[in-house]
Amino acid sequence: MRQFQENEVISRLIPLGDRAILVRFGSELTLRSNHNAQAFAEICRTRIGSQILGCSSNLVSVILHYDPLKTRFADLKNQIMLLMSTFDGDDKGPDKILHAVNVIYGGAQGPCLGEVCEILGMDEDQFIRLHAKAPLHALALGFSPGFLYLGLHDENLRVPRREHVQENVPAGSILFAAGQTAITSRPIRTGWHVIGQTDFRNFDPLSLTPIKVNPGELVKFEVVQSL
Amino acid sequence: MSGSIKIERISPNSTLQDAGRPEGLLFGLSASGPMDRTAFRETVKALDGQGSQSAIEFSMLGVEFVYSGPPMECAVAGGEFHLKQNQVEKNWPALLLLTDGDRISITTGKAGNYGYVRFAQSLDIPVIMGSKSTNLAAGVGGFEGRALKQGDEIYFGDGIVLRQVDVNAKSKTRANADNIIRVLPGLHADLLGPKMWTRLFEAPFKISNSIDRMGFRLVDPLSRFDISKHKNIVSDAVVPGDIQILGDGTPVVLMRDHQPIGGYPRIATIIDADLDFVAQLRPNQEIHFISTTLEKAHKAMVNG
Repeated sequence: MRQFQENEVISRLIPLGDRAILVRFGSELTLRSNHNAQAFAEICRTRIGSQILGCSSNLVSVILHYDPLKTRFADLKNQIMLLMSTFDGDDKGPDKILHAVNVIYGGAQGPCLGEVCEILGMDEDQFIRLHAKAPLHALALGFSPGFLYLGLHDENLRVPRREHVQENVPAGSILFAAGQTAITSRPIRTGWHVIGQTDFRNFDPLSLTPIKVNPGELVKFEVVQSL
Repeated sequence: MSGSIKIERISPNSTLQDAGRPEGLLFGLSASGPMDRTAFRETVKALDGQGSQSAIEFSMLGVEFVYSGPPMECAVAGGEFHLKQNQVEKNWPALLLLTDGDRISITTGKAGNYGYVRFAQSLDIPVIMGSKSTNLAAGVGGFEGRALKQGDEIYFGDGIVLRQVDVNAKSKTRANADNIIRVLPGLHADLLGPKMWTRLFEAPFKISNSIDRMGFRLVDPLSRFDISKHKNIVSDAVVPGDIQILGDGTPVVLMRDHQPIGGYPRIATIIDADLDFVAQLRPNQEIHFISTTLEKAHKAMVNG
């Protein structure tokens, strides 16, 4: 099925500054818009890779960087619109790579777990069972190196971000907010709830493949008592 | 060829930078690269297009280093700093011939936040994900992923295949006495509405004391931005020059080490041709915004 109608195409293509174009697949975060963004980024890299400086997918959009002195904006825009008009959406199906990640929930490793459970009105065991129940989709990388957005959680597991930012949240923290879970690979400051800890790191700058989990793949949390 | 420099004194948050790491975006890493690409390129020109692909980017307090090795050229540029070679005052910018034991001292001058030292010989620094640039926010690249400090010794390498120096733009910074900076509508300009957009141009902002490679916070004497209705926007791609509004209404100009994805609304984006100029504005200086078009922004990359 075609993802775009003719008159929709223009509104979804947005210049971002004077060296990038953003293609948006929705203003709400859904798995469908997320998967479309990942699939479209791959198409752009394959089909017009030589005319752009780089291209990556975000939560619900694709950013394409270009050099205006080498590629005219109007030409690039036309090419992207052409790709959009024949884009059939994500057709990868359910066979996605699955990664297992060990997690200690709560305690000193997850100081916000109690608060999260209070907001949701459930006890910790209940929450952990629901949270680790099904594999989560890797939605995007960003914020800091290797920072992995995972989701989406059901409505009954949604909590807002914290009022105040926490400083020096360590690498390997499991963060939770806004229907998503995230894994940090570096110490950061964050407004998300810290609910656990893992020994998994999604970023190794010295490796030829610095990222282990890429957008579009799956992560299953295994509940453990020690790492 | 061998040789090295030893850092005797250096301004905080000074780093090694090359043209940047565009591949980093695939790994959740911004591209980094020089804060003032115009000055960075001046040092390339001074060395006739030769020289190391990476340069020392020092911040406002400058740098002092001692050179050991056979005679070698080095170029310095960016802002207006004071320069001495072995106690002898030199003009700024400059092309210097270094000989064994030379001491180069660069200190704060009249203007600018960032300056560059580029050597004729390449620096023996590992290439991480296609680049020698330091990303301080990520702790990646450059000298052990960190800012340079006193006592660091940087060696010159040979046999390294140099990527052609290309700071991916030929934009010119125009002489600009009134600090008038051109902007395009940001990703969330529509969402924030025409009222806030108009207020962006109502009166100047000031550069705050909080400026670094990630971003320049601005002081808004009018407290003109209220984003309390826009706290739950989906995080989306960030580009250098984005003017992001924090929860308390503070505007921040995002710079080379920006986070790749951000959840705060972006009201406007400074055009590429004016961003180097902004990077050299010091705390307390005023900054005015005017709106422009994409077409004019692209012309400005060639004509200033």
